Amino acid sequence: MLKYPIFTFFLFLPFLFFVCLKPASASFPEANALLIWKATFKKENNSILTSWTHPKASGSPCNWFGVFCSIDGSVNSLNLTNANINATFYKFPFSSLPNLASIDFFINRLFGTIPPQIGKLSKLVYLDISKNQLTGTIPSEIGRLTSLRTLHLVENQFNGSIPSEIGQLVSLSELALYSNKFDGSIPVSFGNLRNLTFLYLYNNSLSGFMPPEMGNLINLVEVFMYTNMLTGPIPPTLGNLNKLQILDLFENQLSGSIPPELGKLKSLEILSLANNNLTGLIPASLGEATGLITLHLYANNLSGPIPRELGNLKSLSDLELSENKLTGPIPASLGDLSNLEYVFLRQNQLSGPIPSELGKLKKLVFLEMDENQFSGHLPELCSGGLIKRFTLSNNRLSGPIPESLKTCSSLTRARFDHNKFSGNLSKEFGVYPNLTFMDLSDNKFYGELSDNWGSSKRLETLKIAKNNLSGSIPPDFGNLNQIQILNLSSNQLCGGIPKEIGKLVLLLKIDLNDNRLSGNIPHELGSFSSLNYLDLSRNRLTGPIPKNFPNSEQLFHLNLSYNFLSQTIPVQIGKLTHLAALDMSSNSLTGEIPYEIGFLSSLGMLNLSHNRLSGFIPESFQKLPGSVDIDISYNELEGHIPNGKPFQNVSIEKLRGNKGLCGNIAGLQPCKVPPIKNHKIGKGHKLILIVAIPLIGGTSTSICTRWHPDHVRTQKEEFKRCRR
Amino acid sequence: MAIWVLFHLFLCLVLGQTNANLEGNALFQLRIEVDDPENVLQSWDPTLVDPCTWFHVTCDAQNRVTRLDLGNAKLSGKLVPDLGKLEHLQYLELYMNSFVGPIPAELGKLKNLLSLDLYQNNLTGSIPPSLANLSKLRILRLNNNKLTGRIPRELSKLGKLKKLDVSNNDLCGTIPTTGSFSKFTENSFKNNSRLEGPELMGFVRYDVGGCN
Repeated sequence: MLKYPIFTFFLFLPFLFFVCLKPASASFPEANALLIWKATFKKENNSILTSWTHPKASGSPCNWFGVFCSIDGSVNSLNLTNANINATFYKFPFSSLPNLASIDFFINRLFGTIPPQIGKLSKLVYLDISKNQLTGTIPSEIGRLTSLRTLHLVENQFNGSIPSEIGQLVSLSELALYSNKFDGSIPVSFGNLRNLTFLYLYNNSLSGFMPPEMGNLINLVEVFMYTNMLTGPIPPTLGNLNKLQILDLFENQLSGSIPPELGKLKSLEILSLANNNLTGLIPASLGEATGLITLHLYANNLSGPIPRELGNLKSLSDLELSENKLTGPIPASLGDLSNLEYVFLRQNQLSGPIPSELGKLKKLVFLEMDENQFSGHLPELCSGGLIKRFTLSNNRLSGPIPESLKTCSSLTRARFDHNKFSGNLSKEFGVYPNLTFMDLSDNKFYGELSDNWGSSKRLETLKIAKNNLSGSIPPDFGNLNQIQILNLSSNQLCGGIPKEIGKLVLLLKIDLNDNRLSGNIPHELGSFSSLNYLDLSRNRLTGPIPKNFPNSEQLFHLNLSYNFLSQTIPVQIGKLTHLAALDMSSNSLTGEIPYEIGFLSSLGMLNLSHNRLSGFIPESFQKLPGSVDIDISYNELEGHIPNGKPFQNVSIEKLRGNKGLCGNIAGLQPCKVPPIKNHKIGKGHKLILIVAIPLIGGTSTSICTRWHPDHVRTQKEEFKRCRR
Repeated sequence: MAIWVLFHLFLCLVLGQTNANLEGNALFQLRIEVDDPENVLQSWDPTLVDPCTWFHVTCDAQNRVTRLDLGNAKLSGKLVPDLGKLEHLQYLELYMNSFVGPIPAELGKLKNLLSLDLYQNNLTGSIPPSLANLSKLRILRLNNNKLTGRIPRELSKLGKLKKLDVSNNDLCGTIPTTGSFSKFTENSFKNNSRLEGPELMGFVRYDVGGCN
């Protein structure tokens, strides 16, 4: 070329001529057309489009923001991503941009519908109008865009069915319609989209069956159709999709069985069929899809065993089969899946022992197998030291806790509750610096609570109810400064409630009932300002109820029943405006019922029975909610029953065994004299009472002894057994 | 574009066993909406199978939420309508916070509700008439907010209502006097400068006007 410079010059001259002249003639109408569209934009703060004006020189829009032209000066691409355009397509120059190949209007405020004129953009290759506010249906004219490779209509408000004309877009490689309101079925014509690689239809209202013709789409790599209302079976033809890497059909209403043909998908990495109505067996052939990394089949109606062939899925890292009706054992072959991090098998009918091979899984982070029928002893499981969530509750497991779990310091949440685990608790568990939740309730652990628990400083929930624990609550529990729920009920704990518990200011719920705790209620327990629930019932607590106790207005449940508490009910109890249940029955409380109790406007249950309360029922009880269940039987109360709803329908069982209650209630003697308004006894009645007291006192004592013989008999014994 | 795909992929798959529990999802909407400087909702983990181990949530034996105790928790933000999905809720205790915005009408769907305590917040708008559907309601305390509009007459049909307090708001119109309202004293309504007093039946029309 350089040899003949003049020759080359003349060769190029005509070309230059065209280059200089053609823009004016080709793009002037295009610029005009774009300006007509721009004139319909609502005024917005977008200085971006200030470049969209008639350029004086060439009339070419090719330098405008977002406008790109080909060499011949004709507009071939519009890229107005995130340009705050608030307009419709109604004046868009569909007929005036013959060379337009790419439209990208992602993230704007376009509204209205897509006009049928869209079919005129015959050269369109790329169309993205996602994340706008467009409505209406996709016009069938879209089928004319036979050069279209990418169609993104994502996150708008499109509705109606997907037109079957989409099946004419034979060049289409990427189709994204997700997060709209499309309904109706997936068109059968989709089977013609041979070049389709990515199919995203998720988060719509698509219904009907998946067309078996989808098995023709052999170039498909990713299929996301989750969160729709698809019904019918998963087509076995999907097994032909050799390149498929992701198949996500989560959250539909698909039925029938999982086709064994899915085992042919060697490229498949993610398979989610979770949250459907699938039945039948997990096909053993799934074990042939050796590329699988994630397998989610949870929340279906699958039955039968976990196939041992799943042990061939060497890349598997996330296995979730929960909430089905699977039976049989965990195959030992799962121990070969060395990449497993997440294993969820919860809520099935799996049985047998937990295979020791699972101990080989060094990468395990979450292991949740609760609510099955697993039995036998636990093998070593935390060999990799990475397990954070470990849930085995509600099974039939027994035996001790293996050593690797004792030292599994990565644990954050562990549930062993409702099994038959046994062993000496103080030896079974260590210190867990990251543990926030631990539930060991309803097992057969014995021994004492070790000081160790106080060192697991992040504990927020600790439940060891319904075991055979003995010894006392260590004062070191006072170090659990994050704890909010503490349940040690139904054990044989003895000794006093350590005052250090009062330091645990975050406590919401304390449950120590049904133990052998003795001594006084520490007045430090009055310092809880957030406490919701306190149950110390069925212990051997003595002494008074502390005056300032409890101090939390949020308290809705207070149960101190079945203890040996004495002295009076503190008047501060009237401050517990949200108390729904108050039970102090079966103690030795004396004095009068504080009238402040009448102000507890949320009270649904009040039990003061089996005490030695004297005096009158306060008139303020009239103010209690009408539906409150009151029991004041077996005290030394006298006087008339207050009027008002609380006592209207009360039965005699809730009032009997007192000194001289009277009123208009069946079984109760009617008041012979006008109701006494103050708390003093008139002179004339003293004689009657002097006679009546020994009689009634004798009766109530004998009834009292029959009601709580255990308390009287065993209290002295327990002081001897509690060593600490 | 690819970023959005990856985002949705993450949500659906990486969270794995996402909580299919409707009540947990509804409560989690509240967690997303509110400001929680004391982290009282920190335990509200949507990846758990149900909300029954979350703090401040109480469930019954069938793992359905019966109580929500968030009184005096320094929460602010709006109440979400999703709270109406907690069908077994008996106690909704959101008092003494800084909640703003309206009382969602969806709370009228809580057919088992016994106690509704929204008092001492910054709630605005009017009292939704849908609260009259809470047929088991015993306690309704909306006092000390910035509620406007009328006291819906429908509320007088709440046969079990024992405790009502709408004092210290900016309510207007007349006070219903029929049904359960016949037993409430002026204490339940005080400090509403535009409340016109008890409705007068008979000769005087109920709506004297001037109240929206």
